Amino acid sequence: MEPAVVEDRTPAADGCFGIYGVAWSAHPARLPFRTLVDMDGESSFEALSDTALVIAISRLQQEALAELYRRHGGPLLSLASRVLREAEAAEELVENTFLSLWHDPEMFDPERSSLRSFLMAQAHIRAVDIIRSSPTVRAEREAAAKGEHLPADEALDLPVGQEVRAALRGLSPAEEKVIALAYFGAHTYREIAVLLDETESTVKSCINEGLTQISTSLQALGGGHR
Amino acid sequence: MSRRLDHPDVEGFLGPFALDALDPDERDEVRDHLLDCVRCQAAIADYREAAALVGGAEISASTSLWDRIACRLE
Repeated sequence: MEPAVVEDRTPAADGCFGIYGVAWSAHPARLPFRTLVDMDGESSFEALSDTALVIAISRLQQEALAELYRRHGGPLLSLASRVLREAEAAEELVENTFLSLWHDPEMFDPERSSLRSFLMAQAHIRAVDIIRSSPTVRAEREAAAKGEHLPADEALDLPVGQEVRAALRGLSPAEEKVIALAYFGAHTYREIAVLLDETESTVKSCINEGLTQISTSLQALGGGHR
Repeated sequence: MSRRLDHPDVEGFLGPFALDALDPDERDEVRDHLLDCVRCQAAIADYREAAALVGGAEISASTSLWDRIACRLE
């Protein structure tokens, strides 16, 4: 859907032609965005792109947020749970991430990223801030660092897609390790260098090369951006 | 680290930046650089797409959590 269509519906005339009195033009192509959504009821949100739904959010349409939650809530919760390792804190983080989208939908720029990646980045920085502000949690992290791994690991049994598995197969064990320590373990590259007894520049290159590798496989598969 | 980072210096930090794995002062410097470097912005976007793919298992979202969110919408 073309995101530029944001004009408001015409006021209801007399209620004879459906709840919003849109009989002035029954053809959907001529209806403003909001009317189109209202006419078909909640189900039509399913057909909208993420970007169109974010525009609907800026018009305070709760069903649009509900649909985005349905699409992205699960993956966000899985990320929050992996980083925070505490169900209640992870749920609260997801809750706050969606509330922040509700209050500031203009923070999302569809020219720059997919909504999924925007939301995941928002959730991740929040999770990392929570962990880094707690010395106890940080200490536990260091103890647990040895067990860090990416979700391609069969033992985890996470429902990751084929394309994720394909992308992760291209990583070296070292790349996989540092990315997992940074992304799920919330460690800085400097901390990782100490943990793995490597130089900081080796860790930085490993992260860059690993992410480039995943990104290249992703683009080859045509996935990623919605 | 008050010196403004040059492009080649920043490139090495982009992956760690995308994964929130920089110290705060480094993070701020990369952010400053990103304000007017389209190339690095694009690299960060690609890295974040990659991270999002790896990080988000396709589980379904619970309706009870949605109910909590819906309660707080104004």
